[in-house]
Amino acid sequence: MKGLKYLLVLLCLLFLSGCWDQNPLKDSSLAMASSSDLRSDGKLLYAASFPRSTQGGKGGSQQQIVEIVSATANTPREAQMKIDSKISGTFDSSKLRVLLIGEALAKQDINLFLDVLYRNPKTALSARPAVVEGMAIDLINLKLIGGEEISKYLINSMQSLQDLTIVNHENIESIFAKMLDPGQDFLIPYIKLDKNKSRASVKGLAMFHGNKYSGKHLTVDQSIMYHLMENEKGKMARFTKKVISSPRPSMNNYITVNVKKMKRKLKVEVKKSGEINAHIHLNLKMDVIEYPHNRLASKEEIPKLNEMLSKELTKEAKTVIKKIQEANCDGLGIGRRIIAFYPNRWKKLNWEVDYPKIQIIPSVHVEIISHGITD
Amino acid sequence: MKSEHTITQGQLVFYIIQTQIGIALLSLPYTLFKVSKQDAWISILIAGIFVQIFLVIFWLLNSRFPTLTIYEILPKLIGKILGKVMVFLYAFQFTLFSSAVLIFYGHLLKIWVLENTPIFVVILLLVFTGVYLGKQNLRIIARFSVFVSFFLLVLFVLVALSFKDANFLYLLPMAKTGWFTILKGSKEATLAILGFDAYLVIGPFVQGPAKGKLKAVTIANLFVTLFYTYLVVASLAYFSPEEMKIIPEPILYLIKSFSFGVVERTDLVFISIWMVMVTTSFVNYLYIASTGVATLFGQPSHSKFVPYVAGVAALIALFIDNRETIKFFTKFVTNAGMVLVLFLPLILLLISYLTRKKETGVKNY
Amino acid sequence: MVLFKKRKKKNNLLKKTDQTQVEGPLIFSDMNDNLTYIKNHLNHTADLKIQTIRNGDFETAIVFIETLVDKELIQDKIIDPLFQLKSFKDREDIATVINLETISCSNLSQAVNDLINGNTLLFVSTRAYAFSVNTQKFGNRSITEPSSEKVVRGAHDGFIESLGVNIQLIRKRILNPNLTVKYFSVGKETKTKVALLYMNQLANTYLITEIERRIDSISTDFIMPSSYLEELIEDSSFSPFPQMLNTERPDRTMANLLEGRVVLLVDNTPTALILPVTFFSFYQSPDDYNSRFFLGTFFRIVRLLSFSLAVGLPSLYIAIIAFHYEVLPDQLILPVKSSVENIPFPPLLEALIMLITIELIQEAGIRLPTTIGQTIGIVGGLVIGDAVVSAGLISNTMLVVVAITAISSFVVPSTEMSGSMRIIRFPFMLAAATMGFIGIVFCFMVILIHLCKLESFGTPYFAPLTPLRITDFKDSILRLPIWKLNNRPLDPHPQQLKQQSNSRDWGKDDEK
Repeated sequence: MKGLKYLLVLLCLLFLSGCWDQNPLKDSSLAMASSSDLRSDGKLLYAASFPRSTQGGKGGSQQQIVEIVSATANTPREAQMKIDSKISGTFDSSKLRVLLIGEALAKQDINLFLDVLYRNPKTALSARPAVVEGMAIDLINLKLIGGEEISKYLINSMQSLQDLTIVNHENIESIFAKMLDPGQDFLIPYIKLDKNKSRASVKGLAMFHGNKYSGKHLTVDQSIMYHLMENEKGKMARFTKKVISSPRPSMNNYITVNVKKMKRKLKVEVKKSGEINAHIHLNLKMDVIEYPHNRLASKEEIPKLNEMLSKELTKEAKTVIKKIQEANCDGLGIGRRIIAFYPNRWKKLNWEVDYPKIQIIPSVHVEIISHGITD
Repeated sequence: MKSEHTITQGQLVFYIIQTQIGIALLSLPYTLFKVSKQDAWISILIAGIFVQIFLVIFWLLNSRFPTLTIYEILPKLIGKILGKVMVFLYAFQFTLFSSAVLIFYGHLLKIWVLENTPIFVVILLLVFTGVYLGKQNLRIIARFSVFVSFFLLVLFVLVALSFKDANFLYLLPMAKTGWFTILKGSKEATLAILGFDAYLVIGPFVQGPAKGKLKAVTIANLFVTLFYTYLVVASLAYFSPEEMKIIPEPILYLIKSFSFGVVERTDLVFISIWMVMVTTSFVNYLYIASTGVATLFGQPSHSKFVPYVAGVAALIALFIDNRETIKFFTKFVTNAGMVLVLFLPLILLLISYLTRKKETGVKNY
Repeated sequence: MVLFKKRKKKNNLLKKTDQTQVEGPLIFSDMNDNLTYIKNHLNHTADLKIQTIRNGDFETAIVFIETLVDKELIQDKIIDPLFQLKSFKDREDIATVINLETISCSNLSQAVNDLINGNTLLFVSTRAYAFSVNTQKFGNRSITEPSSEKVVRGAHDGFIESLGVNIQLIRKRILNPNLTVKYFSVGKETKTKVALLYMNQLANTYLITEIERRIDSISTDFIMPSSYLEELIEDSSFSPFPQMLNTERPDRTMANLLEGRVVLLVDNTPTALILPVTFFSFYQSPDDYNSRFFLGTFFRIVRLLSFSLAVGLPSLYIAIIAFHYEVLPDQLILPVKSSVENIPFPPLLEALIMLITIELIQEAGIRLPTTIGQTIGIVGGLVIGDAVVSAGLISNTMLVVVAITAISSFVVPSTEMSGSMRIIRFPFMLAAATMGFIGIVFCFMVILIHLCKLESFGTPYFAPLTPLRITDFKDSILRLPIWKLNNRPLDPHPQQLKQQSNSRDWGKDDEK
């Protein structure tokens, strides 16, 4: 009897209370991708894409259409409110999957416009940020074949690039940690629209310093190298290198290898003089996946290739290091290591100024361990 | 001995675990980090050692008075009138703990899930559920505590997923914040570890030999300390130090960023489970407080007083509604808890030894 | 042991006569006075037949109610032998010629009672006593498999409406003198016979005295089916959960008896009440033991899963659609969104409409003959389901959710538990519609607290989960191989916990 009474009271409480927080799915407009740009007058140009389906009646297939709405405002929140008044249903950013940031805006403090996402408990923190060359709104307005939604297109392509070690899995949560940490920086995909504006492609990684885009980016090959140095590898990491110097340009001169296994050693040492040295040693076990010469059966060939590849890749690594130091982007987290292991030295450092000056010495050692099913 | 109110030693373990693990679970890494930085996890370990010391004191007190609760010991040791005043203070203190539970829970839900729902609805729901369980006898409350402890496993696994993206460099340099700071950090954990004081009241209702009781509370303390350490390490390794400073509920934020194939916003799942933990904390305090009130009025059963105690707790919780008063309240509860819960039993034990007063005629089994 | 059994029987007999002893006038020495008394007492009912036989030096009157007795039996076993009896000296004369259970009685009221029970009364002129001969007619239906508790493999017999046959079905399975039967007569007007069965030396004695106490305190006029009895003696009637297991299967009854539980059988009801039970008893089926243990365990887990689906699924769906759609992954949210987009009702109403429709279909199906019942199922399930979606009233996803819920609630092998689940889900849905996940959690906690405190005859209802006893998982949540189950479950507090020692001792011999 008593139990019943309590249940009754409980139910009354629930019932009489109404539903303040109701947030019905059918009344909301889900933004799947957003683009933010800085206009020349210093205002924010914000756009979002809303996939909608039209009821095709019974048995009829539902058609997907994508609606893109944009607004100009001072802050992202204001822009969202403006968009909200333009669309049917309430604007909802909780399912945002891709955040496109225009180059000009990225060079400003990106935390300023990410803040609205971090503050809202409903945000999906797994959304992926990316820098777009030029204006991001051009990319979100891209008409894709079959009316595909832009976020789906980009996420799918990024996922396949992640397998190829070109793109990392940074999302807005993971960059937040690195953005705020003085001893670390992050890199996010750099996307470029094709000339005829029908496709977008990832051109590498945009290097950030603190919360600002440095304006420089790594190329696709360099991105792979960078990820290996960061000790991250997708399913594959392929390099195509010229190993035969012949005057004639020919497909014959190249070898394509895939990294099967890797080992990275990163050592940061502070010398008594206060000089900071970082050694990155990469030990890569490779699989030859394309080499038209068919000479791999011979005993000398493989050691020769190993040596050549090691040299080539070390060169590549050095270029990457040079580039990230120029961009003042401590993506490898060397600062973090100094904080962790040499806290006293860190206190005397001005990492902003000192980071580009430190010595980072990469060395790559390649070992071919297999070469497919032919010699 | 109140026969049907007895619980087993296993149930004691879970009763204490469930009283301790509750509201502070989500914000513990943040509160500790504010003081002892990357060494927060050492702070919580040290707090665990302190808890063990106090538990031994409680246990010694309990073995001198094997069938008496703290409420019954007080009048015996310090006189009737003063004793009654102290009983009232204790009961009020435990009521304050339960309203602290209500306050933190209400505000957390408001921020994370139910932004527009009036806070009193959320609080009243918990109060009604709490009263329903709190009115039952100790055995049923303990059974409930044992059962819901299964959910801790889910929390454990959810948090374990964060180690995939953890960066243990954030924990270094180790022990560089200075031992004094680390100790000060331990004090910040008070709100999280309070709950082992339940032993003062339910200790006499536990079956079995005194040694077994000590073993049980030690296991409970070990579990809670390790679980907290685990949570603190997980969030320290997941968030960079600068980020930790601005995230008041690191555990939730950490879980929020996972997404599985079938469920996103895992934090909602986490909050749902956490709410069960909160309920047990609330109910366990409610039980302890109303037992005190019952002793004050010389009544054998606590059930009658549960709604009143819960009502007082709810009133206090509804009254304290902004960040500043919450801060003040937390400080007050923490400090009062320190004095009443931690140091008074020590004094009582000393009095008991000095005056050689102890319970006679009861076999210490 | 034999001695013991005899004494037991005698005790029973004594008890029975004790119970039927009613105060009333003694039998008159004048036969006609007796006959008038009986006629008046039975209100001159038309089916009362009195036949007088004059034979030799004495006159006898045979009194019976023709609708209750086996008339052939009376002819063969009473009237014919009486004609052969030439003289009458004392009671023994009659007793020797009639080859039926005969009691001589001296009380008229008792004689009338016997008459109502289907006995035939035999008065001899000028003697102040009567013979009461058992000539009851059993109009029983044949023993068939209970339609609500079918199994694939295993015994296919079920209880019927006769108490005697039902006890026989159980006794046939337990050839053990410890199986004890106690009779009660319940109902002031109907005097329905209730049998209490238990294994002596196994069932908890406290439990038996408690049940006896509760049955003795029943003062109702009549009990119709066994559920009357259930409601009169169960611990808390306001609980949504059944606290006694109803079964029509003798094998299930037997297994429970041997776990130390107690069985109540009511005359004219084909169901046995088993008590005390736990929540998990309702999720066990004899099928579990008839299949291999992997399969048995799997089915049990599926059934328990069905409980959470039947209770939680609609509320979870409502909470997600109306509050927290963020939990849906990216790939799922767009299809779901497009399916709910044009539905005019809020999710709660949508779910209520569909669930109540299903309840309607089910109720209609039960009342109608089987053939029409099927048609109703098809019309209701397929036609309404399809039409309602194409009319745009209910979303596709909701239909899927409701269908899974409906199926889940019929998985449990007990109709009572299935009913409880169908009721409990409504508060869950309301809570979900007002506060989302938070509401569900509160409802869940209230139900859990209720389960924790619920007791069935001193046994915690939610054992072995609360109080936790992991060793009892072996035969409650799981179904381990039979040879692993050395101990009985603790929840009925049996007198002997051990039910077998190592049954696979032969394994050791093989090794040698």
